[in-house]
Amino acid sequence: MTKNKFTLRRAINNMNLVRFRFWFQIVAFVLIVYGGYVGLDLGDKLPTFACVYNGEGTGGKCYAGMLQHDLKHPIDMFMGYAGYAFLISLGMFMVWFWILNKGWCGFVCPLGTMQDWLTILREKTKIRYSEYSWANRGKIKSIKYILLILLLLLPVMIANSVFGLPKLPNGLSMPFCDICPGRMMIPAFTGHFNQFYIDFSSKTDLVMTTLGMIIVGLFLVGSFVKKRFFCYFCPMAALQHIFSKPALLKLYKDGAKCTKCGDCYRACDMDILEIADDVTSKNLVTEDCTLCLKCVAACPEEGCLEANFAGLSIFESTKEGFILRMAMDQHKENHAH
Amino acid sequence: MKQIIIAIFLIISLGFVSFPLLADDSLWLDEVKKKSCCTVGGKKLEAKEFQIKKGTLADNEKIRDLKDAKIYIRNTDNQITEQNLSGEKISFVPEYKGNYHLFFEQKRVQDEVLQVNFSSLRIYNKEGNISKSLLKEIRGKTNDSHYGLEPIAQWPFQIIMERPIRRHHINCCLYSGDIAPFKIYYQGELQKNIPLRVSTESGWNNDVKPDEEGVVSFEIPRSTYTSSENEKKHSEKMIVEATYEVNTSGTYEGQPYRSVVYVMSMPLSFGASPLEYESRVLGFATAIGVMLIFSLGLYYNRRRKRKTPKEIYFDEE
Repeated sequence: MTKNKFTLRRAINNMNLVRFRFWFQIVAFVLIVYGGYVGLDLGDKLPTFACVYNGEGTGGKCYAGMLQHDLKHPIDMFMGYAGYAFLISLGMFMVWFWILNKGWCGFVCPLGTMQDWLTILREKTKIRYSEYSWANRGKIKSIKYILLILLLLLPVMIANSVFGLPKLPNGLSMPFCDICPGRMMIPAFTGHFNQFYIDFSSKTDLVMTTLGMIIVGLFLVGSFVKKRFFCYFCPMAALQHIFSKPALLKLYKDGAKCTKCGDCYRACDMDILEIADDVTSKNLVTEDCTLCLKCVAACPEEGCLEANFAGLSIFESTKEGFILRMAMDQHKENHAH
Repeated sequence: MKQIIIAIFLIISLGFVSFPLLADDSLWLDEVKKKSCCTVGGKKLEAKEFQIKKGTLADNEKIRDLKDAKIYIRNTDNQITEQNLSGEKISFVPEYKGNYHLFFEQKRVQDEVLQVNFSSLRIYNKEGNISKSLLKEIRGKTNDSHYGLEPIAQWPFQIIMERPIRRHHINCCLYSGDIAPFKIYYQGELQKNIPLRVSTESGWNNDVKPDEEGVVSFEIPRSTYTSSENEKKHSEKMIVEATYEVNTSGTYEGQPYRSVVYVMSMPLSFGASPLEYESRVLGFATAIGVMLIFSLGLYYNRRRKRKTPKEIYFDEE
């Protein structure tokens, strides 16, 4: 029994994470984008971009849309049943989120998956990747919080006069959905290109839908040259980070075992420096982390990095796993040549 | 002479075409307004008020005496309550959040014909108590659960709206261009030969026949007669109506009749097709333009600054 358990653990630690993640993402993508056609309905509080505009195909819906909807109530109604509905939705979002933590971004998010596919395409075409300038990294990181604040504030300001300011037009009721590239890209996978449009019905709609079109253009080119281009600006990532602490899935680091070789940093799609540099913190799920676990797979130190689910180590760095994965990469490279 | 005959024929034909197809005696439920009425459990509730209108959407009058009519209200739990009416207004307080269906019924004997008028209307109460829809709130909305419901047992004749085929938008509302399917039931049996009369506020009238499977469907027409310059996202009313005559005799409230005519109406509303105010070509052009500019900018930048990405070294203290 002990031997079997040991073997299973070894098999997991030695697995080809890139391949496992690639197929996991495909399954998640199919369930979320096409699940509705077979009756799958995971509700409308998913902590990932399962787009409500995907019509009948969607197997579940994104909480960002529900959050904007829940906040668009006059204050007296919000203090009543609308407020309860908001709390229930938020609670359900947290329950979903606490299961996978930011693993929703790394393994489930259809928009993240699309970006990973574009990265694969770039690698195949041997085009060099780009990086965000380190001088502007702080500003780039703050964009998602600004977007989150706007996402929360604008719907409130439609139904209420905040600080005596006039109420905002109804065209801003789903401000983030208007500019989210998922609104155009996800329905496109079910053959519906009807979200690629510019709305001329009002000035607000014109501005918001034009912004949406600009952002989807930036998303497609940006994700091609920069890994996880959009995730740096994602307000869902900012919202998730607020509730990340009690989540079940964690990324732990044993700083005493770290040699600061930097392999984990180089493997990270989000260029998170702390993963290599921080030897004092135990939990390393940062605001930008997508819990893709590539750092764990790239780490050559025994037990230095581990993915931990509810106190149970489910995937950890091992010397053997590192050597095997290096050999797999070498084999793949030789095969390609 | 021949031209005069053709002209007379054309005038008569146009007269028939433009004549509203809804029967003069059709009755339909119309929501009036909502107002704060009362407080239940510390929460303010809104009463919904309705009236019964007679005639077409363009030319109608309010029924002021509803003493021989009644209304059934189906709540979010599919429980039906009956309410006898008097006066001219129908009012009720939907306490819970969710879909409510109203079924108005009026019977009267006229010229030895029992005229039975039905009208149904769905309303969604979005601000009500959520305790009955708690599970739904937790789990999230299910798609279009209010379509294709079973006919209510109290009514022998009924039009049921099936789930529409939406072409333009998300699953919330009807838009012109969507396909609206209906089924007509008599005594719980699907009827495959009763046509549906459709009439829109802007003047589109049509008789739609069912297909082989008994589904009556039509594409909601574009509002050609309404100016949409000022309000592009305008909404419009539409009434679907069906009539069924049964040769049976009997008495109703002491008055004998030789046949029964069932008339059911279902008022609906739909929005203007997004195609009236959206440009997909410009949308695609903007996205592709941005992609081109961004790509060329990157290419130029890379040619100008040929350098390898920086290596990061970590101190090894």
